[in-house]
Amino acid sequence: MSGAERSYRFALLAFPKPYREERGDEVIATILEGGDGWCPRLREFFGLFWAGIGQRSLAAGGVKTAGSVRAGIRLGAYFLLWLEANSAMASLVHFHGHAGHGLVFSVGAVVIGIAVLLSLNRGWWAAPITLVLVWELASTTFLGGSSRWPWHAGSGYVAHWTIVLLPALLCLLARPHKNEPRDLRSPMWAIAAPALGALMGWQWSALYTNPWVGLLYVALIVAWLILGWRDLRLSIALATLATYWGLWNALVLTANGIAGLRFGAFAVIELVFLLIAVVPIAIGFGGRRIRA
Amino acid sequence: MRAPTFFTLAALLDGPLHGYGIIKRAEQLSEGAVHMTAGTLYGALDRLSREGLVIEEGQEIVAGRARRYYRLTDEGHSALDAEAERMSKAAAVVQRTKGVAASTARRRPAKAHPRLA
Repeated sequence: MSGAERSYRFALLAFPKPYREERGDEVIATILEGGDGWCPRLREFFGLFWAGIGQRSLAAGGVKTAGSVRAGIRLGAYFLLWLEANSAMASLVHFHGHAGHGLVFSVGAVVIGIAVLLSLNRGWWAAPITLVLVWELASTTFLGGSSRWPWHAGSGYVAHWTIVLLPALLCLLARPHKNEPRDLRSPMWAIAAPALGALMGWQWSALYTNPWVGLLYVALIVAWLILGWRDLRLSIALATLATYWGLWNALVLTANGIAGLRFGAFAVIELVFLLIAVVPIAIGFGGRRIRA
Repeated sequence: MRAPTFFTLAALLDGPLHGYGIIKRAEQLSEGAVHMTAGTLYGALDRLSREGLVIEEGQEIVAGRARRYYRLTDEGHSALDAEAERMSKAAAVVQRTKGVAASTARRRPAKAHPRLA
């Protein structure tokens, strides 16, 4: 068995077992007919992986969800990009101690975020995300103090509340068609959103005394992911965010408290985490030249 | 109907094909615009099978692996014809609209810009 085939068989694990047993060899043979070798073609690898997730969704709900999975991951990735632009700028302001420039940097970060999102965004989530950005722009400018530590107070806190607001806004504004299999207006979002928000606020405060607390909200998101299986888009968007923040919290745990982090190392490691969360997604999407 | 689905059906017009054959034929018919991964192809084939547009027709073992063949059903032929007609009508609307716009522009000479007049 070649290295490429071994990799494709690994991606095949994303499919449900019965499907793998019935079709696995045929799918692998089809890929290998297009070329074999030690190195797998990334496009085939991730294409297979996403198709497997789609099949699992089908097996779970009996309806078409592959598009929902992609939409959810894309939503999460875009939102993540925007948050990164914002927090990176806020950190820059904080570490340089130029409080007078804070407003310029914060507005600049939000403008960059909007530009990134609008240049990439094609879906039904454009309206809710735009509203969240507007809210963020207003709150960062007028409510948050950008001269303070951005995670503890000011824009950091506000950003977390926008995450909490995002599902609610989507529920209100996405307006899925009546015959759409995954109705975003599920009451589960309304129940889960305040719980998640409360835990997030607690987590950020508690980080100063016990960094392990930071991992708890990942557990809640995982629970949400399981319970909210019928709302795959948002579940997966949150899972994308949780992947990133889970990794980030691992950094906090390994450091000697937040004060022990140096800005340079922090920025590099954060970028690596961001890439881990986003690059596979980008590669998976990049292969799809033709879309509906 | 998405482009990969359309070209998957179109690839089977000449007769049954196996997975890789469908990918290559779709790429050829679309002049390189549609290059499906195996994941996309089998997702489309599963869906089309469920909808009764495509059916499995025999299999053979090549190099120790199963190779299934797929063919269009009568419903598949009808769906493909309907989609082709819809696309053709849409293209005609665009061409007609372009023709009207061009003839209107020819009849109405462009006004000189006030600052240049």
